[in-house]
Amino acid sequence: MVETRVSRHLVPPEPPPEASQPGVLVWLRKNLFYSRGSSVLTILVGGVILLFLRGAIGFLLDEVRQWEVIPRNSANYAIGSYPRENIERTWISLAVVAGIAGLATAAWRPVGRTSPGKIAAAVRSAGIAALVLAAFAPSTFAARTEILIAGAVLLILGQGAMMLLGDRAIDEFIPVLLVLGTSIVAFLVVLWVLPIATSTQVPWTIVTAVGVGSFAIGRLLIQPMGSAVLKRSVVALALFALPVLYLHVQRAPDIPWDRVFDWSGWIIPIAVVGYLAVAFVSRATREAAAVVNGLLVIATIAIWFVSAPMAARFLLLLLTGLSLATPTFGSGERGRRAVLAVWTGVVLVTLYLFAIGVGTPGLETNNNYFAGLNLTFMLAIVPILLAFPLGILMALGRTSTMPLFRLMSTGYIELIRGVPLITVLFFFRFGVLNFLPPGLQPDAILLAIIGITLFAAAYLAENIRGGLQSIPKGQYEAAKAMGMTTAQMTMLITLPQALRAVIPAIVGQIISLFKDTSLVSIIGLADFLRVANNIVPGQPDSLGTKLENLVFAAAVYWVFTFTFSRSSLRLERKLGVGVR
Amino acid sequence: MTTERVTAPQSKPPLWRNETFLKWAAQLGVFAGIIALFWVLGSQAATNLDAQGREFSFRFLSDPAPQISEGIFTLPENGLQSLATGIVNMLRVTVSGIIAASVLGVIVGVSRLSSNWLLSKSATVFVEIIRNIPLLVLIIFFALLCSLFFPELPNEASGPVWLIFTRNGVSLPWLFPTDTFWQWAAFLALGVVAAVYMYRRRDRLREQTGQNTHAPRYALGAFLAVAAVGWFAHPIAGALGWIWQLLEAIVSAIPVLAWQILFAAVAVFLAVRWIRRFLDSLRSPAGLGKLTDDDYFRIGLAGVVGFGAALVFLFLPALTEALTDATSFVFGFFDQKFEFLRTGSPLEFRRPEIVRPANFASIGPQGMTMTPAFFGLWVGVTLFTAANIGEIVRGGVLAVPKGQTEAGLAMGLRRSQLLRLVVLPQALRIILPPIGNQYLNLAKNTSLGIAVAFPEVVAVMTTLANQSGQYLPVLLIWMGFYLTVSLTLSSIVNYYNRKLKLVER
Repeated sequence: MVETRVSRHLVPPEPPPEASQPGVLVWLRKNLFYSRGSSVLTILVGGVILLFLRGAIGFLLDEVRQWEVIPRNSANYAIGSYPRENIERTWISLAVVAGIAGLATAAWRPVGRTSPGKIAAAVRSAGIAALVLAAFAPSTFAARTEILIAGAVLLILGQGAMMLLGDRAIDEFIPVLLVLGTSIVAFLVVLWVLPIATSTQVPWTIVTAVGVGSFAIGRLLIQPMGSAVLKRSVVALALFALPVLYLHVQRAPDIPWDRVFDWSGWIIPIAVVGYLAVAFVSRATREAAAVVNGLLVIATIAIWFVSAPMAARFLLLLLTGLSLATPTFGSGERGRRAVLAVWTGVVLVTLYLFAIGVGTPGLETNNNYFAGLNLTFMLAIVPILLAFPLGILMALGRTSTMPLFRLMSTGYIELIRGVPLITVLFFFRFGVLNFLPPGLQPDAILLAIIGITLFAAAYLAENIRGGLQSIPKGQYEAAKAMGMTTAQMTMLITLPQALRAVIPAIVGQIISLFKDTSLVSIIGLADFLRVANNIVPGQPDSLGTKLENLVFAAAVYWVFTFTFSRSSLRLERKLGVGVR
Repeated sequence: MTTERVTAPQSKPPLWRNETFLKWAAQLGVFAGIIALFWVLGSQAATNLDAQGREFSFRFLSDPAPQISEGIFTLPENGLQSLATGIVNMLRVTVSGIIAASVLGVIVGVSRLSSNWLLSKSATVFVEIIRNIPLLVLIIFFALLCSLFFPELPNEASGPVWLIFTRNGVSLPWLFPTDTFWQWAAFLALGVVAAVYMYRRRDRLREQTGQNTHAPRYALGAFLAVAAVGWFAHPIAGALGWIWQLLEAIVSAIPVLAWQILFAAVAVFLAVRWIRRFLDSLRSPAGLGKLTDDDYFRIGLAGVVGFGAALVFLFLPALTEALTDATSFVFGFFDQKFEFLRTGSPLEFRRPEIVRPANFASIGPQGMTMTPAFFGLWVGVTLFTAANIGEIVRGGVLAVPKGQTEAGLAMGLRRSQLLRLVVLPQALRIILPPIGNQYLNLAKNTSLGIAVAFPEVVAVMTTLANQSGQYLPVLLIWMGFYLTVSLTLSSIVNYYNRKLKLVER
């Protein structure tokens, strides 16, 4: 589901006069009643909107609606049937995410500004909206009074702030960070004052504290480390934290250490040989390096035909990849040291990930570790990360001069883009098991991740291809004239520019992928939509609340998607990408 | 101008430095790796199926199939009929959704550009709400809204009414084709031809005289005239039935072997013609230049595909048989639809009806009825696509340079003329390709009907797959169907795209 996103400003439908306008009547005449036709149109549209709002609000606030099931099931929406006695593991994950988010905020420092007048006008618009709602909604007297009072308070607050500030309301600016900080404080105050989430007051406070604390640490680190290094570290930390959180913290694996030690007969030789090979290749002549790399390629293929642990096979594959890249990127003293450090890191990380990967889950539950919003986010983030390298490969293949690669990439991309996601998911949920040995039966979540990855890769490849084709020919020619190899030209010249040019398209793709994760509820995974649509309304104490749950689900998806698309627009403007 | 090739005496590079060799080695290596992967998976699948005593087959298409809630065969005799039901249901949603979404989308897009504040902001809010909610949630929500919260069917009422809008479904009055519809359709086709002819003629006249000859009006008039004549004269068109009969007889009279040879010959001929045209396109006045690897690959691929197809046709009579059977089925189908001098109104106006077969009321088979599932799916995909189309239309109109509008106004065009003659033709060129993509997405998104138990292709075939365990054949059917739909839609869009393309000077 590809969609184009065009920047736009959203203003609520009620007609609040803006601060800069001289008067309400002038504004109305200028924007709503400037001709006979427009007056008729305004009255017609206004009538339809009022009728629609009245009907919708009356329907949603009807006494038979059981909105109280929503707060009661908040834990179900968030994590599904994750064992409640181990819920602290979820909070730890959330704290880690908050910490990384704090560091990222410090590193990238959002510099956007907003004027106090805009905020006051927004508060006032909300007040007017509440008053209109109270006047038109056919609800009970008590509810109407509450809305009326809230609307009046907001209106007075907004109008009062604007009158107090006067001209300064438009001229002065508040940094976005201040707004962010204020909202965090407001969040904590609401959390502790209102009795809506009493059981989660302490953990939420800790999570917030971790976020704010890591922001402070990030601000302290930015001087000694330098902005670029800090940014790179945050990205690396986030990429490493993802599997650790999902596979280790939340799953609490029982690692079979004896099995891991059994691998050492393979792992240690590969690690040592890899170190020596990379050190040799970075120094050797082209011929010698080619001989070593050729031997490594043969070994990588050969290891799949002998009974070796999967970890060793993957490690050898990674070694070959690194070694093939070494002559291009790892020559020189600094490059050699970097490549050797990367190899050491690769060995340790691979070993750790494989160890927690083979561990059986250590928690007592019916095998549903990931569910609810937790699963929804996992299904949006992990496939995108996995699909990225695949998509780049496909895009390079499709624009390549090598005909067989081009044929294969084109065939794959067009085949996947021609069929709906649900058929891919169905096949991976039920059909793929036919093709695997009886002992290897991956669970449904892993299969869904593979399916979504393969699907997303085709779409990402098309986006990236657009970027590659937008690069002027002179760039290729200049790179060739500098004596660069094709690999160097791609990695250092064309691909970075192409990726930068298509950031808006990729962000749109990620947003629609986030929405598309809801499709896994059809194949039986307990993602957020399934929890809201099937599981919660099926509970004895929440029967007949499907509508409430669906409206809530729509609201949650909307908030995440809308926030994401807005902040990405701001990011695009800040980076100036998409504009060449 | 001819240049002489200067070749320096050079030694051939060794094999491991020969770029051509290395490139082909890499490509063939990866290709072989992928083939090997599929081979491993395939042989594993064969082992698994052997162990379970099963095999891959499309036999579920001829085996009995379960009941379907709505469609042309609600009690299908075999899988093929339930596939047909799913396809027809899917096409119903797709076609009605495309029409509704285009209309609504253009309204939304134009509203967003309106200078009326209230209208443009309402359109913005609509777009922002719909685009940021997953389509699946929308579909489930509207189906739920229809099946739980619409008014109940009044239990005492019965008989024909004008509109049914209840939780059993929505039913509208409609014009339904009758037995003689196809005879009239032949006249409609003739009308299209007449309209095109009339348009070209009037257009030529306009170019000659420089005066407005009202070509669109004349074309419409020609079409309506032929359609009106056809409404009464359609029994004559029933004579076409003899032609279909003759065609069917010809197809079945020729032996399969002859068809096989014919198809193989056509495949080889097409391949050879393609290669020859490709070579012609490379030929310059100085003669055929040096062919690159890529050129050789294309020629080789065309040859392999052409001769491969020819071999398949020659050695697989079942394929040819299936093709000729399908052709004579189509001819037979049309043969039934035409009968010389069969009279009757081609269209019939029917109103929805409430019937009481048992003790409770239900919606009768008259009228155009949407079940709650159809309603939910249709409203969901329509709103979702309309929001996207609205954005595309808005972007396209905004992309027309402002100078065009100003120039048009300076020439004294009225607002409506400006929009029709200056802005829209230029905007159309920009918005057509993305709108075509939206239509494709809509067609694919109808597959979400499975979530509300609407029996379209995916839902119907999933049932069959679960029943028979044949997931790979079902996946192949899905791929074949959706790729056909995609290719058809995109070739239509490409055709219009080419027609609208700017003629570069």
